[in-house]
Amino acid sequence: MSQEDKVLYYGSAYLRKIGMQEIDEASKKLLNKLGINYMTLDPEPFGLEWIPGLGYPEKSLALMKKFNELLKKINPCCVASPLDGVIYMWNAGLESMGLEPAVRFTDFSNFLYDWFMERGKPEFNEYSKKAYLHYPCCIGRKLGKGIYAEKILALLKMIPGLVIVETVHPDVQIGLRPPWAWSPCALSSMQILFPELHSRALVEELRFDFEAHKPEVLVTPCARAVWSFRNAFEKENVKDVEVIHISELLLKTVRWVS
Amino acid sequence: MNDDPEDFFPKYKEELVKIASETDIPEAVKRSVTAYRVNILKVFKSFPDSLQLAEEVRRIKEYSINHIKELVEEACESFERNKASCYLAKTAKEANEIVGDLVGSGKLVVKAKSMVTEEIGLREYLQELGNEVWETDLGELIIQLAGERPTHLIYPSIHMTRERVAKLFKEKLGVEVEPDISKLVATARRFLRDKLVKADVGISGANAVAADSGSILTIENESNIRLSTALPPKYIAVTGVEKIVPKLRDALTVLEATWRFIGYPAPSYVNMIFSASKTGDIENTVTYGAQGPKEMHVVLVDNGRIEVAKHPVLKESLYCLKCGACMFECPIFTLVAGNYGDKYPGGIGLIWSYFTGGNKERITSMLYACALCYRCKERCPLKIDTPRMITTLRSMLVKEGYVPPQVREIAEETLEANEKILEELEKNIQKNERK
Ligand code: SF4
Repeated sequence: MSQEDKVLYYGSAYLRKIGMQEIDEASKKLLNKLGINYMTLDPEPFGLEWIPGLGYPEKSLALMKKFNELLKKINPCCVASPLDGVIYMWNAGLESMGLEPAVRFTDFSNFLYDWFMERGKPEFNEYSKKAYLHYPCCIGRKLGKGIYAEKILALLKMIPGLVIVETVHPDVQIGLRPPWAWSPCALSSMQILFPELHSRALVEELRFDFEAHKPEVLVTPCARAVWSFRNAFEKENVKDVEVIHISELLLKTVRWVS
Repeated sequence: MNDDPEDFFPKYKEELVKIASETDIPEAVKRSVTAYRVNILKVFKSFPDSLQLAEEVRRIKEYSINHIKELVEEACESFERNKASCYLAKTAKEANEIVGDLVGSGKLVVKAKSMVTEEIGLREYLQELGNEVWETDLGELIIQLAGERPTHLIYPSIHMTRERVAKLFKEKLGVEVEPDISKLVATARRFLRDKLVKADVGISGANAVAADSGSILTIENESNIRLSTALPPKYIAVTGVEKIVPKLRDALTVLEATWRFIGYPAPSYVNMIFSASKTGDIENTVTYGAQGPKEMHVVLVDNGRIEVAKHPVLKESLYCLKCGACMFECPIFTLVAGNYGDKYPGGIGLIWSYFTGGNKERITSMLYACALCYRCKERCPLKIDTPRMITTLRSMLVKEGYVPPQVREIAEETLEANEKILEELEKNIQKNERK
């Protein structure tokens, strides 16, 4: 059942579980709007990427190994997911077992960027807002690679009118490290295990950047991060910054596809 | 293990929530984090080679921890050569007993800040022997007066606002003082000066120990280490074995990286102590006990360090310079300070608390407060992978039965559900293949 011409879109099951189906729907609508041939899994595994870090590495990695074998059979061109923990685990986690992912796992926005580069850019509506770009730690700091971040930024720069601002961490200010190395963490695991502390910690983490930039929008490619930010902003009454996933932003702004 | 494992997670969780919402700790830490950002920016601007310097220290530490046993021997030989007596204490108890024997009872003891002495509970032990013991670092004095424990590796009283310190001085020292930082410092100076001059014994830790020359190196701003180690007739250094590096120049490199990541362009003082005070001014004959201490003793504390040095993942914790930089980047520390921790504060402190015999239930609970954001690793001069150690320790403790029930539920449910999903998916794939 090789599907070499299709991308496997992954993450619906987990997004539904955390109540972020709107991001799932936006991502799929976007794929349709762009005319991208994609497939999904039925049934779809979920949340495996978070379990090794909770202290259960052997069992979860054994299941990931099995999943990897199944992916070999399905053989899509790549797996694209708006859950960046998936990307981290399927690159670093399998590597720790001495395995390589059967197919390339990539961040959804990176997949779109590559697609645009290969097949041509769509046209965009103007979106005149100041957006604070959150780089997920899973594909930045944790992997220690800038490649994902560069594509996220390049993708957003395609949108006319969008003013992108980034962290003002001291190391970034003096050019010692790139912004993705110091982007705040969305603290989503804290939202699950320490919900009483999560929102305050998150708002405090963003304090310096928000004070410096006063953004109107926070944009991120990670759907779990959106979940975390939206919850925290609601609890802490942060009303002047809208949290938006890249898929939602692109769905709003992509106008014409050649 | 706790008789009722269901109990401990909610208990510690409640403790953290209370601290974050009912105390002025978040405000105090917020002020310190803001100051740290300004300081570290200045350091990096003035010393752009700081990261390269830190890489060099990483190499020194890797070598030292890989040769920890040999270095202990070499350091002890060097100290003895310098006429300082050297002891290796295997456990906290042994370390306290050695120092207790050296101090005796009924003495006035002044202490410089040292995390290892906090780890082994030395102040309390010496007090039980009937000694009067005073911390001379301002932050340590504050927490001694408050009856609390340090909440940061460098700034032990980081969780206290100036207003709270003023109140504490009034209550414990009987001095009415405004919540003005310079006035608070002057009050502590007056109080401690008297103790320093009259002390029988001075105790310090070390930022590094040079094995080749047998020297104790410390950095400080307050001058309390200078005075505590130079004025009393007896000086005792109590330090962990992981502080030993092969050469004096390695130790100086370690020191420089430490102060830079603490956020100082330069500390006020660097102290190097090789022996008790001595003179050769009469007939070129060396005689000990000139103006400073007549005796010097070095107690090297193992207390789990030599064992953890063998662990493939956790050994990295021994590279820690205790600069505390990582804590200023930690989202949980920002709200609760060192209450996120046990014997040692912060994420790295959890690893230290574990191998030095801390409370496993508390450590387990705190381990799950970590969001694995990796900011600590990014900030750490030595790029110590604390998040990796935290997940490793979580899985070690899960195997021992220490796991919050909520975590166990999430993990087991997710694993079980996925096992079924993968079986079904496999069947669907096979069906499709047959078609
Ligand atoms: S882990 Fe690194 S940053 Fe944290 S105290 Fe130790 S050396 Fe400093």
